[in-house]
Amino acid sequence: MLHRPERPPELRGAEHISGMYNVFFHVILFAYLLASLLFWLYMGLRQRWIFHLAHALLGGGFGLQTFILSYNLYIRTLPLWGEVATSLGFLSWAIIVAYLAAVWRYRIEALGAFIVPLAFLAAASAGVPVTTPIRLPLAVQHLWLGLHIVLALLGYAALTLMFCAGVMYLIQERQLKSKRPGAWYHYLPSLTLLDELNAKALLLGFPFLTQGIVTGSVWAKYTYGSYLQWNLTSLPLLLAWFMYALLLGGRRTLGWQGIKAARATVGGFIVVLASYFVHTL
Amino acid sequence: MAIVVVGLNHTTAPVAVRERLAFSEEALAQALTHFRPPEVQELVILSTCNRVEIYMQTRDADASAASCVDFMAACHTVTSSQFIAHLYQLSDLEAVRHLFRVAASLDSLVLGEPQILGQVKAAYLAAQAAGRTGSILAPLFERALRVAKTIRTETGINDHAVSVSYAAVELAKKIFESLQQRTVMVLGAGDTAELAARHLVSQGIAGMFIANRTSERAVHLAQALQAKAIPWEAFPEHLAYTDIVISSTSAPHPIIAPAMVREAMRARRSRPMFFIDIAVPRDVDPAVNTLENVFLYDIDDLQNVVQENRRERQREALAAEELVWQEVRQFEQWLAVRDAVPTIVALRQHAEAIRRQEFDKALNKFGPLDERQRRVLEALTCGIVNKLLHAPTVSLKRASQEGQVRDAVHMVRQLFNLDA
Repeated sequence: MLHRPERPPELRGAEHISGMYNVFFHVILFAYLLASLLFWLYMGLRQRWIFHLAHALLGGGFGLQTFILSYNLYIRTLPLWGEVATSLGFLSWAIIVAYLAAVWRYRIEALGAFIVPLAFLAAASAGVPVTTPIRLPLAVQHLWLGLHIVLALLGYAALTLMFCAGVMYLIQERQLKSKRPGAWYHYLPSLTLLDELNAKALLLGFPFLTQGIVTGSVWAKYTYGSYLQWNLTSLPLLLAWFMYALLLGGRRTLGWQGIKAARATVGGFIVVLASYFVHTL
Repeated sequence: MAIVVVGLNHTTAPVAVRERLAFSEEALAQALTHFRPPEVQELVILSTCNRVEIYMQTRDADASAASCVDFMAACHTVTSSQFIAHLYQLSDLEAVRHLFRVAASLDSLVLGEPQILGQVKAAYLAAQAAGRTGSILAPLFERALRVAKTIRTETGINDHAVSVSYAAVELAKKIFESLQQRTVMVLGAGDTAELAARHLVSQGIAGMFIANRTSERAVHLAQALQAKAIPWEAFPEHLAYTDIVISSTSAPHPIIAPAMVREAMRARRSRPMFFIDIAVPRDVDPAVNTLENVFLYDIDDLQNVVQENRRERQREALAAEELVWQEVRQFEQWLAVRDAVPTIVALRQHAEAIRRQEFDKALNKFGPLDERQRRVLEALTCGIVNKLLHAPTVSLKRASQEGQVRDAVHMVRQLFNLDA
């Protein structure tokens, strides 16, 4: 989902696929996929052991991913790490972090079924892990690039969490309005809780995304000599930022509670996603 | 040796019979001390408003069942003919399964109701205090309590509200998460409104307004519920401060229109509202439900939710029944092993004692033997004993795996006179 600007000459170079990473990466992908399926299965069968197994798989994949990412951070400097991390599915890692934080704080059992498949898709779309050799020369200003990537992806992860909370809100709201509460009604948490999760993720994600844009602009200024150059090529990021800003403003001043916030989040997320696909085509 | 339960419940006996046979707390303690027929080794009496059951570990199932009937008749000064037709008697694994189902509330009038677990526990503790539980009933009841707790956590059998006022509280929780910071307004001061209001008060709500056309009744009810009575005309402006509205006036036409609610929602910046309309004819215009962040349930909607929840509990009960079967089988295994092992040991000891006795006798008759001769003689006797005992030992072990250990143990103990 992240806009990856064209690499400056000193970051371009022979890219090679590391066999070890490739294996690890597929193990992680498989763990997330299986965990997603199990979360859905749990929703249908409601057997506790399925829920625990899903979390065990998720934890395993997440642990491995954390290890690979931190090992890469250890052997590389931040600017390069930012580049490598995107190919190692840093976004999916950040989404899982957001999920774990939300589950730890709000105990929403149903969240896994919504957000883990998205984490899987994020990891899968990161594609084959490509590592950039360390021997490349480094310019100090590219610290901004690394920061930009990491911050923007954290912002996107919070956005994904908001999207899931929004979808769950819309389903639960439909259940309550229809007066025929079914399985979803029992499975999903209360509207107030989902709205609070949406609001908290907004408050956490907005600063990340803002700083992601600022660092990206600074990097573009260093690299291309213009802030604007960069801005024109990062439509999804800007759209996401405007969506965040709009939601925050709406909540603060217009009393956008509940259904409005949920609709805006889901709509905004789809727009951002669509703009990303249009952008990369 | 058998586990037996004799009793009656809401499906086999009308309340007129149940109420006559129920044990009060003191009567229960008395009964636990005084009911001591010789064949009954352990005893637990479970008495609730829906059932009276006597669980026994006994040497003779039928004799103890008969003693039970006599005892119940004597205890409650009724003739046995008045209740004997309503009694059921279950033995061994049937009895075990029955207890597990009772404790897990699978045998309750309201499926999954939570009180029965506490009642089973109280019955067990009372029997334990009276010294009437032992090596069979104590583990059995411990296990029953554990099974019930497992079923409660593993299945959703008592997750869903099956009464209208609980269903309303549950719905409110699906909107507001917790009711602790919420304000409630009660319109009308009738009995139904009071009942629903009491349920909400017990959830620890922050405050309550009560409005009624005749203000004395509102003031009266407000005092009883520690709420604030407001004049009838003032209720629309209080909507903005209210999260949950319970309405049960006898007004012939709706008293709450969408425009009124829309205005309140503007004032409260769209924070959600929940209208519970239990009045017939309805007090709240159904169009209110179409407003954003506003939820309206009338009495039929609530009844439907209750119906759906009942069906949901039925579905969960299927999973619970499966768990009960698993636990019954495990208990059976436990009983089997418990029964077989001491018998095998006793059989071996018995044979060894005879062998030693006869061996010593033979040694005396032979006179002095050298070491080699002695060893041959020893090996001979041991060999005969082991070969003879091999088949019964294997049979006992097999029987314990196949679940027919009772008969086998009984047979072996009788054949070899092990209980003498």
